[in-house]
Amino acid sequence: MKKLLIFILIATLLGGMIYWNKSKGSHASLRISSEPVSEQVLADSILASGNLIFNTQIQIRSEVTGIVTQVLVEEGEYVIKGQVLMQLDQTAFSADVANYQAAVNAQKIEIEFVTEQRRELERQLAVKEKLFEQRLIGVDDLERFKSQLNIANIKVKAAKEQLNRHLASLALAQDRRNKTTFRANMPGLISAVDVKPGETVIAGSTNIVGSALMTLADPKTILAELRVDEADIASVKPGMVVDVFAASNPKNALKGKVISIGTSARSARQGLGLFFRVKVLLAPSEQLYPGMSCRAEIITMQSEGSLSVPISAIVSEDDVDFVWLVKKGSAKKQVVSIGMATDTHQQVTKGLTKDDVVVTGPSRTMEKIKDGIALSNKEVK
Amino acid sequence: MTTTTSSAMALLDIFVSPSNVFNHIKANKKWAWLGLLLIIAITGVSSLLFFNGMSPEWIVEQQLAHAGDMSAQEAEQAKDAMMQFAQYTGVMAAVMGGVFILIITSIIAGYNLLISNALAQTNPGFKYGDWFSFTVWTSMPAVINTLGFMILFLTATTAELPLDMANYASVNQLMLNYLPGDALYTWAESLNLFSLWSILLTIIGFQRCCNMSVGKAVLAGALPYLIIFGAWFALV
Repeated sequence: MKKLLIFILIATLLGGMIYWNKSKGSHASLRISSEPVSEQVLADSILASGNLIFNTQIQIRSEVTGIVTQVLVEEGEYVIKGQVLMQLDQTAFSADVANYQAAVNAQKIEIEFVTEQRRELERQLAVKEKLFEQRLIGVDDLERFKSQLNIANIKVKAAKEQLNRHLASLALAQDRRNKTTFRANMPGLISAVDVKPGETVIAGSTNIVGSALMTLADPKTILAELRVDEADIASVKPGMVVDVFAASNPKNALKGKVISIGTSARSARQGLGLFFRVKVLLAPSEQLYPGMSCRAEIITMQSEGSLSVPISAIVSEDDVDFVWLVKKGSAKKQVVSIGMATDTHQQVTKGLTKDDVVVTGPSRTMEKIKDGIALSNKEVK
Repeated sequence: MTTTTSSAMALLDIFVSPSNVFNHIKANKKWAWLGLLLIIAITGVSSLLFFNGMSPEWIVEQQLAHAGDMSAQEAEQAKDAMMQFAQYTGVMAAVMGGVFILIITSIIAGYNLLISNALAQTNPGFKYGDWFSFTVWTSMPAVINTLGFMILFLTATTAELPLDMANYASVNQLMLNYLPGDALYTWAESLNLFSLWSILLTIIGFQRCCNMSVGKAVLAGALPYLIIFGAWFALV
């Protein structure tokens, strides 16, 4: 009898546990993560990298070949317009000038000489004409004198043209000598000095670019020259706002605007990708130097302040978008209209209010949610 | 007091009159084989039946749900690995369950041998085989546990059931209600009412076989659980 009672007790306890388990199972709540609907400005962007450059930048190259005797400025120095920057050895150029000057002087003497010869012929011709009138000389003699005078006139003209030639050569030599002195053609910053005294600079020619000696830049405006992938370039338009993050200060965004978009693709140094050059004018800022690398987010689309939810909250079924709302601890299906999306958030144009809380995950649990099912929060962000 | 006269009767007596079983352990050592066979068999059958109706996808999903936080990539890799063996889960669970029972029983038998030598008032002269037999009998509540589990899943409306249904008698499912991912979830799922029943049987067994005082018997019977679950609790 005692054994029977114990047996019944065991069976009852076991049955009780089974019943408890079954009844609990029907009221189980799903553990989910949720997040309140937020109002924020969403922006879709394109990522690109590049370098900073000055807006106006001149590379100073030499038009003559020679040895550098003096470099009068240093990198980072501000210069005024007309300031002498550098000097080449002038010996040969000055000799050229002196040579042509001498030629000019000699030619002037030559002109005086032929002019005087002509004047003498003119005097003789006047005498010959009187003698001809008195019939003391024949026509032949008179005509020969006239011809000699004409030749003298031509000689004077030729001497003058020869002078012009020498003057042109002199101007050219002077110009070449002047080009040995390099002057700033605008006020600005010497951003690079790539030459030292004693070095020989080579003049550029049709097929050879001459030595770059210095870089003179206007430091007031700085550009970010970005390399935008060919797949993204169609979305970039002039005037778009860009957040630029310089490598030296990667957390602070510098605001800029797209001012020009390259029209031809260039090949990347590595790989097979092609990119377009996009120039972004940056707002004035300190501690920016040309050559710095930077990354940028080109804002291609921006919403007005609107309601948005994490992208994981949006469920799509049969072309219908909906979210699961948490209402008094239970799930409620809410169909929504969606707008633009970023990598993390989705704009919701219809169906939600600012006070709503939506289920954001986990995705495995979200698949089990049904209207009215009890929800318990895993973590409210 | 009645006397246990057969192995079949011992299987019943261990639940309703355990002292009778412990009184005859040394004399009827071989009866325990039937108990061991029953535990292994019912564990194997329940595993096969439980996983039989489940789809491999469901099994993998359930295993991943209990695997803790992992990245999407890790989850994908784990899913691929699990999918290869998901259809054999029932067979693997049955085989591994049987092996596990043998190993655990052997270890606890060794522990019982050592602790009885240390704490026994009257040395029963048990060898390892006797303590193995003793341990099998103290493990018999597992049969009731598994029977309850079978009733649960066989009466369920769907075959795709949560894996933690096997722990329906755990303190977690009966009282604490921790969820997967909680620090104490696995701990509370492992602490089972039928384990307490086994401890109770062990205490009775020590009193009967070694003539231990109640205090010593409780200490000897509960010590392994106290150490394992105490240390586990302290670590989480």
